[in-house]
Amino acid sequence: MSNQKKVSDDVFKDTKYLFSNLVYKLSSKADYSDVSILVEKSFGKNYRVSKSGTLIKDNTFAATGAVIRLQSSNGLYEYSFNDFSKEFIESVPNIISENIKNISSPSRDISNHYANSIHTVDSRNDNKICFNKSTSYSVNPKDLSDEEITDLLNEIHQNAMDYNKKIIDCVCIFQYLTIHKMYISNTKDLQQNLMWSSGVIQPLASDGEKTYHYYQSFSKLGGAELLDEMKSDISESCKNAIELLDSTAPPSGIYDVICMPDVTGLIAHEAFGHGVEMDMFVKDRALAKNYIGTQIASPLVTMHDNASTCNQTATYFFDDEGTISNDTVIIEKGILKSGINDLISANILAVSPTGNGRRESYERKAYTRMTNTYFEAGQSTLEDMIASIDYGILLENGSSGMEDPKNWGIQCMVNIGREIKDGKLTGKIFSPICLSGYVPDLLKSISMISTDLKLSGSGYCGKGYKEWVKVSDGGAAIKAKVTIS
Amino acid sequence: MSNINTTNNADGQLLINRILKCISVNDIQNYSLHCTTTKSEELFFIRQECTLNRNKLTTKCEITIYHDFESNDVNYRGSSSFIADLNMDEEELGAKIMSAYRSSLYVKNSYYPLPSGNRMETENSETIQNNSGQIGSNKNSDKNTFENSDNDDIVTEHKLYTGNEIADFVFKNDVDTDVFINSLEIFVTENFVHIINSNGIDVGYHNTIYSGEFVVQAKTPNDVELYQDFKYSYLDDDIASSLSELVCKNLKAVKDRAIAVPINGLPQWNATGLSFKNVILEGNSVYELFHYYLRRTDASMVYPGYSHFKIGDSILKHTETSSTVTITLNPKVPYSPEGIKLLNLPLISDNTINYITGDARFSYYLGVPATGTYECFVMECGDTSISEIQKEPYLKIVSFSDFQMDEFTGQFGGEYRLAYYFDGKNTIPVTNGSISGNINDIIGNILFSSEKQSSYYFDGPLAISYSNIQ
Repeated sequence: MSNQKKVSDDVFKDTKYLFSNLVYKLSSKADYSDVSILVEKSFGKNYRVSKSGTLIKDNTFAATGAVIRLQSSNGLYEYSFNDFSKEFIESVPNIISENIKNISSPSRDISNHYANSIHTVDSRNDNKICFNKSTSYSVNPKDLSDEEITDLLNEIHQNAMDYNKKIIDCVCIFQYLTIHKMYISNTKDLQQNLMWSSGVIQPLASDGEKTYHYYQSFSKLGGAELLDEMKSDISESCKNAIELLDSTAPPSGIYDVICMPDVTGLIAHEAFGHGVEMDMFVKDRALAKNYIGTQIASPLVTMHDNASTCNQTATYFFDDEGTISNDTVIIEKGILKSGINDLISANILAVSPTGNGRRESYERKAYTRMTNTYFEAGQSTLEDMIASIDYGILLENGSSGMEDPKNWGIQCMVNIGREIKDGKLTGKIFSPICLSGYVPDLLKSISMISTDLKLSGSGYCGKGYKEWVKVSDGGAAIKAKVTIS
Repeated sequence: MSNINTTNNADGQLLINRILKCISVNDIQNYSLHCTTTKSEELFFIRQECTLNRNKLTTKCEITIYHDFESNDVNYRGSSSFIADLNMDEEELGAKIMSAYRSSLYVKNSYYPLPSGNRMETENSETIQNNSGQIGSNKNSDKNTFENSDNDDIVTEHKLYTGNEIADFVFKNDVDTDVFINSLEIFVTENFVHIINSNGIDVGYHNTIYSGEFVVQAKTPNDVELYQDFKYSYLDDDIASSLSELVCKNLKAVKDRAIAVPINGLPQWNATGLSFKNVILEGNSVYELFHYYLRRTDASMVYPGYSHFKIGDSILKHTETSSTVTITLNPKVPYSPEGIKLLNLPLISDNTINYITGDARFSYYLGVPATGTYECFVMECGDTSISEIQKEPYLKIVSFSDFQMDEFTGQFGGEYRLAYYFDGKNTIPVTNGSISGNINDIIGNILFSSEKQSSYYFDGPLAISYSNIQ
């Protein structure tokens, strides 16, 4: 597109030599090997308008800092810091040396099975890889005034408040993050410059006793052009929030369901995204490692984790360990093909790195993490899928989930269930809905997939209960059989 | 903490001085700073082998700039905040401060006073505290400064434990080959916090937090695992020993999970599910369930009308009830992020709400004293023992995948990984089931165990029980 611009790529031009010198200095010490540094400088803002007032603050994930990683005689070691002064950076080798000296020898009898297998630099290529790449945007949020952004959010908020007296509030959020990352090792000199934006419109309805909300999300790899999408009609969201006031809990049982794309994405993410994180294979915490090459889902199911080509919030050129990003096919026509991994897990398991080593920030350890995770679209229409159900529930507005890679359990919380009877929506609403079950049973039960693929990246993913990273997930509508309570 | 370079908070003071100079140069009248220097030691284990050692040293400061203005005879106080770090020179800081000042013009929030302190002349505010805290003791890295609820400053000396010493406590009882610790993460985090505002607040504290998580695994007859996290605001050998006990408890639980049967596979299972009289929740879900009342009594929930609780209200729907809920707030740090002194407030006494808690802004809007916001609390136990509670058929859930508590509706539930079903004769470990309910429907009908649990966030009954009314 002609009006597309690239995110600026010169953020590190004045300081890069400091970090290159640091890597060189540490690499030249006989005690250390596999030295690398990840430097991060990201900034962005978070705008929020609600009945409680207006908020303008830095994006929570804005960060400036660096992390050194190296192999030492005492094992794998990392040092995170955020002082980029010449004086401090020159003192880092001494700090690291002191810290490593103080790593006490464990009194426990250990095998050193893992430590001996760990290599932290991807040295598959003889030639040094160098690049500095940027993603595109149409409107840089920094070029808009705060007034323009808050005015728009206020307008959406007011439209929702005017919709019906039962709407007691509407939380409207727009946030963006511009990320600059530089990775330097003896074999790589990489820089990437990314920008994502996301938004939320969340009307809340109350009848004086109960309060329910509906959640509409927006996201893209890009800038404030997302605000144009957020201007869309919000009456449907308000109507949904009000309908929830008459909702009842569904009777527990096994149901035929239609999952709308956001719930499909939640299932993809929780059911098999977490299940194939290969750092869990290393720890013997994931059942999937025994099932590579076997049928674990309906032949209709093909699932990706794709950090390289999606127009979404978890797209990048290289991960936080300097591995080039990939489109990994996890399930192909129902067959489990591959997991996703970080560099250390890939080395221990002797498989190719997939570029999924991600950190919450430079302050945290890298783990195997998902990026943009989704089921491919199918060939059915939503209308045909609904018509095929005698009694069931259409699920939309997924809110949260929890993985269980070891035992392939799944739990997803869904905000709205719409009753289907004799192939038609009856208008009856169930809420809240806890979808649970055994992952292969769920995936094998998928019998129809619609044609419309949609990804959403307004949320974050935790590893267990922490380590939040930006992800997107999605797919098309699917028909499946699940346990609901 | 031998492998952390603990000197003092000089970096934080350097950054604060630079920020205050820029604030002065740019003639900013109203501001607040929340500056944190963090040093950490982090260890990551697979089985008992440490696969990664990490250290961290960071200094950051959240700066909030306020801007008072009038529109249509209404007074407003706009604000905008950003994070400053040591790499920002005075020119960049000045530009960011002025940018925040301009942004705050578009934040049309009704006026509210900032919390006040006695560092300088103060404006009136509704806060119930008035501090005099200084950060002087931070120079001693082997001391934790903690100012308690009655405003007496106490400097308590604690032994500082290394990550490896904590690992020794965790692995002490990890001696079996069929049931063992699969993996462990340990974080020893030392924080130096300094809070300043333009209304006289100038307080700080230094603490050391010991936290982490471990996964226990059983290989036979089924290969299963359970997750457990831990967090302590200080450690001594007794508390560290309780960590060893927590490991034991989890090793026993995962053994039970290995023999647990899917609940719908029980012979007693029929079209309507299982028959039992009581649901018992044990462990962390008790905290999650009653944390609902901390949220519902928070001014940020009350002001927009999400919660209708008022001081003096009963949390019960009906007066005929067997439950008595008493919750006391139990802060683990001396100050809120705004610098408000945190106190051991009796939030709910005998089911009656005593406080609407909250930050300066929402508390002012509601006309209640600003207490700060809280996460940790103490809840009174009951006088019925768990063995008494367990005399009639029950389903006792001890481990959820992810217990969910909806702060808007009171709906709770989730899938459980380990529960015990008692049919009146036998107790059977079960798994793969789920429960749901609404706290507002059961609150009048809850029994609290006399046995206690104690964690960073919660001191209270180990278990609660309510009638299975679904």
